[in-house]
Amino acid sequence: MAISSYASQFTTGAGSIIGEITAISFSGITAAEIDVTQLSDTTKKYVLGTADGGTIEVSCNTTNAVIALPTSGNASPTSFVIRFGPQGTVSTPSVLATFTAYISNTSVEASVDQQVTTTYTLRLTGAITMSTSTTV
Amino acid sequence: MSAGGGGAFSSRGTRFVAGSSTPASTSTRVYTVPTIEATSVSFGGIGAAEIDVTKLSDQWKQFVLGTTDIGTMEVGGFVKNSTAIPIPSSGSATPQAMCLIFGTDASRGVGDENGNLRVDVWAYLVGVSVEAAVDQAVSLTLTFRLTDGISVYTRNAGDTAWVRIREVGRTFDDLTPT
Repeated sequence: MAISSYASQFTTGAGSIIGEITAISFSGITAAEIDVTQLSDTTKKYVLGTADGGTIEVSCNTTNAVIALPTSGNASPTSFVIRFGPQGTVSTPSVLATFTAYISNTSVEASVDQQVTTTYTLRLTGAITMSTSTTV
Repeated sequence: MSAGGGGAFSSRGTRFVAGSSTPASTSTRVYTVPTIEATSVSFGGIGAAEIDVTKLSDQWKQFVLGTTDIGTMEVGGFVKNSTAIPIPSSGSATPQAMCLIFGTDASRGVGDENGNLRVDVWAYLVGVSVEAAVDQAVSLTLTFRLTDGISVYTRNAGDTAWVRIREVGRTFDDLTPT
């Protein structure tokens, strides 16, 4: 059955997001499409190239904690684990996404009669693993 | 809906199906069902390249058609409880067969599908997007790159099997939907 976004959070990874998270959006995990159509073919044929984890946008209500910023020249990505929905149990395992990423963009917005919000863009690097868990 | 499949029909009941059959060819073919609670299916556009063959002496543009591209298929829906989210496979050169039946009322069962439409395609998963937001279900969009060919079938009252009405490119072996 479908799962609610309720209780979704960053969990066991080394990385965390500073702020009260209100939305998480994977922009698109993709694989390059390589056109291998020959002259003799009547329809287009493709094989897949390298997969790209893409980016994740995390929207937050800003808190009193120091806002995280991108680090120039960083070559050591941080590990993250996102759990969609509440903690998993034996009968209803949770759905997890495990990956490493850099904070590549931070934007902050303040406007009349609104809370201050921060949006972080995480650039995923390397493999992303989708799994389920009965304990996380 | 009129008998013989001549009328419009609802999206209700549209579903991907698995299947069982012995491939007649040597190609390996496993019908894949997306691990998603689908709420929408969209074909991005099956198109053929337009080749401009207009001559200087022509008053009007003239075209011939080139290679047909089956395009992409987008499947939107909800992340399924207890099921890992699928991701693209780098370097894959083996597309998966997928079978989509439009508008079948599943409660009526196979064999009582009056004028329904079935489309079989070869596909790679090339894009995955996930969204989680306050007071929303976790939603997922899968983008499939269609390759090689497509087959279209209908099944009207009295038909004991799906009838293939159109096939482009790589052929499919007949499938018994389950």
